[in-house]
Amino acid sequence: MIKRIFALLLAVLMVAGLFAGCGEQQKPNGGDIILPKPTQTDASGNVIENQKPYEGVTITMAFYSNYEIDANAWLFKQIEEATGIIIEPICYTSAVYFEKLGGWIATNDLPDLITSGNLDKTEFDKYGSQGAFVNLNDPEVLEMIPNFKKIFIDDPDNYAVYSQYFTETGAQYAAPSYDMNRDVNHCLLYREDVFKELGIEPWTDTDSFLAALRKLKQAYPTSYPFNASAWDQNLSRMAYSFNVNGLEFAYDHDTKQWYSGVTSNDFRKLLDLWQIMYKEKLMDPDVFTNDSSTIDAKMLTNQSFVIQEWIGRMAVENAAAATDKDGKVDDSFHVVPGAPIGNGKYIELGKFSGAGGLLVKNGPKQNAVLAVLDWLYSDEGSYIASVGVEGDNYVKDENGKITYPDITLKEGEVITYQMLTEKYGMWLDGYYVRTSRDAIYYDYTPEEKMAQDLGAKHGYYPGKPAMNVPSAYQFDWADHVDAYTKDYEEFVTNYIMKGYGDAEWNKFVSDIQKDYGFMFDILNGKK
Amino acid sequence: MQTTKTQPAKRLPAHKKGKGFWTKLWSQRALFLMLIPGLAFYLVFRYGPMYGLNIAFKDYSPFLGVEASPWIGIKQFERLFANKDFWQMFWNTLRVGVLSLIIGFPAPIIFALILNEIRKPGVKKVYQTLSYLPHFLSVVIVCSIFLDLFSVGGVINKIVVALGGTAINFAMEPEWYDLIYQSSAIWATIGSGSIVYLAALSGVDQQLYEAAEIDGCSRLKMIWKITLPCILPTVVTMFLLQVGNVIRIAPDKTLLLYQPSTMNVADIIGTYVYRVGITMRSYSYAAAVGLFESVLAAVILFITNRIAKWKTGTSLW
Repeated sequence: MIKRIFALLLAVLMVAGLFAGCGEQQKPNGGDIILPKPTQTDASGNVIENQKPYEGVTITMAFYSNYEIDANAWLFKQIEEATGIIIEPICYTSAVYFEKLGGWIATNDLPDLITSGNLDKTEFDKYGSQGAFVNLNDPEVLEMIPNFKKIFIDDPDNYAVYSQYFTETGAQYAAPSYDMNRDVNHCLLYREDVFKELGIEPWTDTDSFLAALRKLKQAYPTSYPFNASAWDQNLSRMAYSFNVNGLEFAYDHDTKQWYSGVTSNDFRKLLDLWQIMYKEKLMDPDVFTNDSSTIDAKMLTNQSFVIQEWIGRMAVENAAAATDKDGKVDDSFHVVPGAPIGNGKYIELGKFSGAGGLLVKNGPKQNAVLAVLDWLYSDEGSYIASVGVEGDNYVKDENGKITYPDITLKEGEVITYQMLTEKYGMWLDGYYVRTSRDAIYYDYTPEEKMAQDLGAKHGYYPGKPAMNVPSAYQFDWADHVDAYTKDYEEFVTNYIMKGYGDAEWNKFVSDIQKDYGFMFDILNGKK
Repeated sequence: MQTTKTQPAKRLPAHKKGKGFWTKLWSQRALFLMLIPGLAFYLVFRYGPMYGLNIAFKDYSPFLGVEASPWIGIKQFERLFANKDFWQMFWNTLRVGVLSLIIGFPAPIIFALILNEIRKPGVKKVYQTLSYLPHFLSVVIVCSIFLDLFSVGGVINKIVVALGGTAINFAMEPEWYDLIYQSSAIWATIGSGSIVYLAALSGVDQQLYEAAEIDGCSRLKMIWKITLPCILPTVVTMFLLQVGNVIRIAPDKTLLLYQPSTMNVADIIGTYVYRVGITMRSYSYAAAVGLFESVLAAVILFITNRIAKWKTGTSLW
């Protein structure tokens, strides 16, 4: 009998245990709608505008970072001081953040303020239209975000770009990062020391570029002079120098038509260059699988000398060479930016893109979240979030140079915006929606400055406008893009590696037109 | 003469008289009570979520909820079959799955048989431990190791060049994809996969081997005539469990190994669902493809189970 009672108890306990985990979790953001505090009057009866109507309200703010940013972060204290709103951060690494984002959406349990991350515009537009996010174009909402409105709505030039991203019903859900791009952010970089050692003049066009690579190969026969990581992205960036501003979807500003960049004759010229480099072993055959760390290693060990990369790699590689494993300083090693090839122009980076940004959850705390959002766009907020507070976390010398006394630098080390993220929670990915030009991000290293100067000298090839897929075609648009990308990436790699010629090219152009031509008809309004 | 007194039959309590379902249930109530947690688990975590399959027939949005999301019939399935690459991906999935079954399934059995033949326990343990170690490496590390090994500047190509050959870009050539995929899979799982067979081998009656030895049977023949038949039920059970996964291949490894030039042979349904269904959060589409895969896997498992029962007498049910 005792055994039976024991079995019964055990069974009940186990069933209870199973169901215990299935109960609905209390949502942290639940609660009544929080309204601004009523305006007050002073002793004389004058109306006192309440500067902090949401004082004491806690909002959740989700972002990704390589650092553990907690609620005590300096920036959050600044936000609290300015708005009275308490920030409860939700911080993950980027890979985990993207997974969590999927989870928040799948469970309809969003944080109050999120960075769109890998959420596609068509997705957040769809969820926004279903009530998940606040429509920033709502007149009542715009009244609550005057600093945001001043930038994107009141400025006619900005509005012309911003309005391209509106949905068919005129809504806009993402608050974009404004005017923070450097003029040149990616370009060809090369080992100046090796060029000088071999007496090679820096290239000025495609022919002299190839000639330089050949001389490097001659001097270092086992090397592969040209290299790149994330080949597809870097090929796409190089394509701007060949009059193609997008591989899948390129835009012709003269005809105002979308077209397939990968099937254009201009793009074929770039492919021919890569084919020659591959065939003559001027390009690393592992270029399709390299990552940035392997690129650095190859540049540091004379296996490669020219790369198409982010300009920040110059500081990484120059610093790595300066502190090699024997502790010796290699002063001669020097990576610098090179001129663009092809049409001689760099990529034009727009002031902003409305295809991503910060999303405000449509919920009881949305007004408080909007107040924080607007502060980030304000003169004061953007300065504090990107530069800091003088005397509090930075000091200025007589030349106006800003230093952060609390951050200890090693010998030869320069301050980076990542250090500010780690120390103060500033420059959080996705949250630097507006930045001050006083920020150290724009305090270029001499090599980065060279890249900006080269940009000003050579000019830029224009990017493409917002690409809006009509809602009627959004159901399986991703399937077509996926198949299209697969097809052209396979062809491009084979063209380079297998030395494809006219016959293969013509068939490819014809196949792409046959299989995916309808997508361009849709984008160009012909369907 | 002694007479044997027969005991009068005990009268059963009223509730035990019949042989009905409820009577049996009551008489074995303790057992059924113990069954409840298991049943509850399956109901809550296995059968309950099947309700969610209806999103395969809806244009589901989490912000509308399952009920409010509009029904769209079989449009998600039409979308899948209309994809111009669907049959290529389906064939790739089958090919990778069948190859894993043909090459990957016997590998741990053969390895266990070899280990079983090693007479020195110390040596046997060293081999077993070394073979088990890759099991603790994540698939990302395993794939990175193999991509490095097979890269143009990797060890394999160094051997090829040393032998007078020309370096091959293995990772980028479609014809080498299966070699990299299957060899990395075998390397990572052969040790851990052999454990169950080593356990089965330890249960084989040693007297059978002694009798065979007296009869002059060779080691190879002993494996063929004694070892394999003795572990056959385990082999069949493991085979049937693996057959169910022929069409349901986890995408992680493929995502790490495929390259644009190998997509034609490497892209499987799982990676497609990951790209379009998961990363683009097209939940209804992912559910539709998952349902398609599950139904197909169930059919394959039923057929294989029937064949196994017919041929070997062993089956899952």
